[in-house]
Amino acid sequence: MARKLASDKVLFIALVALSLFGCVMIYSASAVSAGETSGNPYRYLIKQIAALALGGLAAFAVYRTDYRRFAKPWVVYGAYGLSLALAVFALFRPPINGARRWIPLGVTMLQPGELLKVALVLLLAHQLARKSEKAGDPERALLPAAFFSCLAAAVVVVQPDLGTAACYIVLCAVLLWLAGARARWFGFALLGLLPVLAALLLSADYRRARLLAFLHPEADPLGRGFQAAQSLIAVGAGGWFGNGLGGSRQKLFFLPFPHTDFIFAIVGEELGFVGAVALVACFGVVAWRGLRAARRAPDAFAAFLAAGATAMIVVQAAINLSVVLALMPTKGIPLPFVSYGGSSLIASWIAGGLILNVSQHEVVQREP
Amino acid sequence: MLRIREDRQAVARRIEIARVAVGAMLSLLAVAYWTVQIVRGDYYFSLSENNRIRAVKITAPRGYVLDRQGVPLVENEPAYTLHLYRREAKDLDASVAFIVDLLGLNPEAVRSRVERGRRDPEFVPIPIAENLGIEEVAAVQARAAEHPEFAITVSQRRLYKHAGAAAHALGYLSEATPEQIKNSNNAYGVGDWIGQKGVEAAYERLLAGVSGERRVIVDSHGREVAEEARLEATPGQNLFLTLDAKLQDVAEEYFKDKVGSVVALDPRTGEILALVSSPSYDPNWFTRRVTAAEWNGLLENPDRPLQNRAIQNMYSPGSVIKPFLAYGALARGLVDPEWRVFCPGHATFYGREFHCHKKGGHGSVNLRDAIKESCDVYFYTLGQKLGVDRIHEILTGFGFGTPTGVDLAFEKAGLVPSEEWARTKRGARWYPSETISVAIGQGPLLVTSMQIARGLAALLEGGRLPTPHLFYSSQDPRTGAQLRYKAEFVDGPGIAPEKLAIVKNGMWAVVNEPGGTAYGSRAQGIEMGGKTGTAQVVGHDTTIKADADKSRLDTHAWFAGFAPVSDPQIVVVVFVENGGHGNLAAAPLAKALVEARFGTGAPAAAPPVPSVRAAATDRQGVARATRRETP
Repeated sequence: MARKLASDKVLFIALVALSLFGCVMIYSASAVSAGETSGNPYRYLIKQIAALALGGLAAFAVYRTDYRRFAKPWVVYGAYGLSLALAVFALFRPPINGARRWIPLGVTMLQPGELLKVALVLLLAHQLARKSEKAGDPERALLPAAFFSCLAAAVVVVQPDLGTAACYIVLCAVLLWLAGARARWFGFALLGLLPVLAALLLSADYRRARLLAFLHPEADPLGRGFQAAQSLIAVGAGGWFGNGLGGSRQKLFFLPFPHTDFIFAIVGEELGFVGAVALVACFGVVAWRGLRAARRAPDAFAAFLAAGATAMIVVQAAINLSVVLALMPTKGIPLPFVSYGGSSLIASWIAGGLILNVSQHEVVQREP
Repeated sequence: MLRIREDRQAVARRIEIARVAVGAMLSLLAVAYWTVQIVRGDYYFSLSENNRIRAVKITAPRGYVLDRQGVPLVENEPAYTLHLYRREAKDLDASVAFIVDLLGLNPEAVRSRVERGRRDPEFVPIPIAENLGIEEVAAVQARAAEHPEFAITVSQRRLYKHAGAAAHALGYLSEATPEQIKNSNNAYGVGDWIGQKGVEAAYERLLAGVSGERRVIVDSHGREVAEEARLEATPGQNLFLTLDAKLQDVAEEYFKDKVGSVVALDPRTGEILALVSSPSYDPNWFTRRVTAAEWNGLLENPDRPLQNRAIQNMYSPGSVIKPFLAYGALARGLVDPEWRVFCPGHATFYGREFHCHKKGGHGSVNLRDAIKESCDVYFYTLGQKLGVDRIHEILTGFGFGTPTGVDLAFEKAGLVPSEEWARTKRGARWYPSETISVAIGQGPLLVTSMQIARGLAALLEGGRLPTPHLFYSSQDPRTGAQLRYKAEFVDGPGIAPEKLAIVKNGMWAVVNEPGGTAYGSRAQGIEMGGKTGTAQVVGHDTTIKADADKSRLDTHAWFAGFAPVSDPQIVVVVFVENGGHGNLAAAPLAKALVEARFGTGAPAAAPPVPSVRAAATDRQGVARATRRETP
């Protein structure tokens, strides 16, 4: 019924392409400012390549391990518990750039919130598979899934990192829906979450300001709406083919942190509509092949694992690409595989490794 | 198993839906990017083109200049400029008419400024009027609501508190020249003010401070909308000068209607207490952007107001040089103090007749009396004994022939002739008869007032030459920390006190004994010594030929004095161009300055100073007499 296949080469190539493309863009976006501040224009590129190597190793290890081993409760809860513990630990460290999001590790910093994304995918897949296969009712997983997701979200909201928290919730919702949860549950969840969201939005000045800037970007183009406005200008100025690799004007002063969350704006400016669409297409390939692996997966756990890992990548990408176009309020969500950031890159590659792992197995389906 | 398969079917169905949903979402995103990059691409491209970070200089407040007691000489004042913002104007003609009417401006001038400004991009404001008064500023502000197109900007402008006073010591500011900008290593740009001449130039770095910078974000219209970064300016140091405003005032007042210079300094340190060059100019002209008429007036004035006569103009010293030669001859043992010369009013040397300024002659005079009465025949004879090369040695020892090193630019070196100089520089051999002229401070010998002051200070203070200076101290306006100038000296001839005493006694007698050439200028309550000089005119600059302009042939009047005689604390050198006799035209100011310095209790105003005109007839005679001596 199940047979072992070679892993999905198309998916692998897409992931590698995204990663290498990210390195090129990180260098282009950061060389000037890195050279100016640290004297080493390769500073961010070198760190990203190092993270890529680590991420590749992790992905390879994940890929070569029988995925059923990941279904063992001690792995599932261990991964989740460890990531969550690290995220809590970060809360008690002195803030960096106003947030308690990172744990310094010598030359680099660990962002537990990123690892928690993968751990949460694992945990949700485990829960959903168990409830739907053993108990026969996926909706029994509703409460535990919601509980673990909200717990993780609560921790990162305190950091504060509303973007990542939102990512957890969306991830949970997507998986629950895939598992077959009925629409009304999402309605109830939304009703429950709305007041929380409103309270969070109004409790922090910068969030309120960002929201207002999103609703009225013209009101204060150089204040809160600055990033959004400059990001739009960067993308828009790219035209069909962009002004060439390294030709971005915006990255110099106007777009803060162009190599992290707003890297896609630089892609749009330097490589134009053609480059932007090519990158969007890469994510399309990842989504297509990831969901293909999920559909063909031999068991529910593998299916939810592949679907969850795919969702983790695609949801983040969609949010990031929307933020760059000012279609969504500014959030701290990186573009997976592309944005600068070691934790995000490693987490993304682990997710990629999980999908590739699942893609090796296929159940021959008979049409009903 | 069936149940599970059904579930798996359901999941598979939802995965298919998800694939479609993701495809749709990514397609929508692509469409969104197409809209932004292609449909509205030109719009964003133009925004990007206009996105600029502009560096705006923060000019550091320039340090004040004060006298030694802290009397402000130069400060900064706010200057108001009226600008027109074209973007805000609905009807330019109406705006111009309004402002012309409100401020009573010249309509033609305003219109031409607006025309000129039209060539600039629209966001560049057009300057309409500078240096508005407070009432004008208020009038514009009051109508600001109706006429938002007019705006007033404030900047700091240099204010010289006493118009032309000490102008040559202070200097002035002007916009940096292209040359200065090139040499400044990016410290100055077009439109930046920089010190020209005087201490404004000499201590430019100290006074100017270090400018800061704001990096501002300008929008696509070029307007400043936000500040990205800011580096504060370091204010300039306040500069305390050695000048004494009280003495300076006395000297300025005296020179109101005369041409010449005054140098008063402390012989112990070289601190310049007063420095006047007349005619002067108002340094404020330059900060108010000197008009063409004013500038031409300055340039074409034959008396050259921009020149600092105390250091830039060289003159024959006349009899003022005599004490130096007298001391030099005594110190070298060439003459005995009681060596006597009989003066019949004239004498013949090398087959040429030389006149004494006293036609009837002084009779038999020794060294002291020769100084006191300024007997020319005595010094002719002394000069013959010395010879030009020894005279050269003595005078260069007292610093003549080299710049004093005063902290002002463009100082001249003067000229002390010698046989070698005649042979190599002049190209005509030295005539012994020229030595006779040099012995009374005529001939090719040329000095500056500053050199005489320094030489006299060296003579009185043990032979080392104090470097004259205006820098007293600098003060950091934020911390109050002061930096004090330490007096500098150049090695000089070394002085034998008993021989100096004889010369000093002669100089005391000049002022304090009946028959002394400056007996009329005795100071009240304090003993002043000195030496008068009446120099034949040989032209303004290095030219040795007499000036051809007949109206400028009157002799120059000199007086070099010091006080108190027992312990000199001030040296005063007064020079009045074409002023006639030193005793009448120059000595009275020295007396007034000494009295002002030591506060005699008597009113500082001197007894009526004989007018230059009254002495004119006498002067003509002397000028004729002396001119005949020159070969």
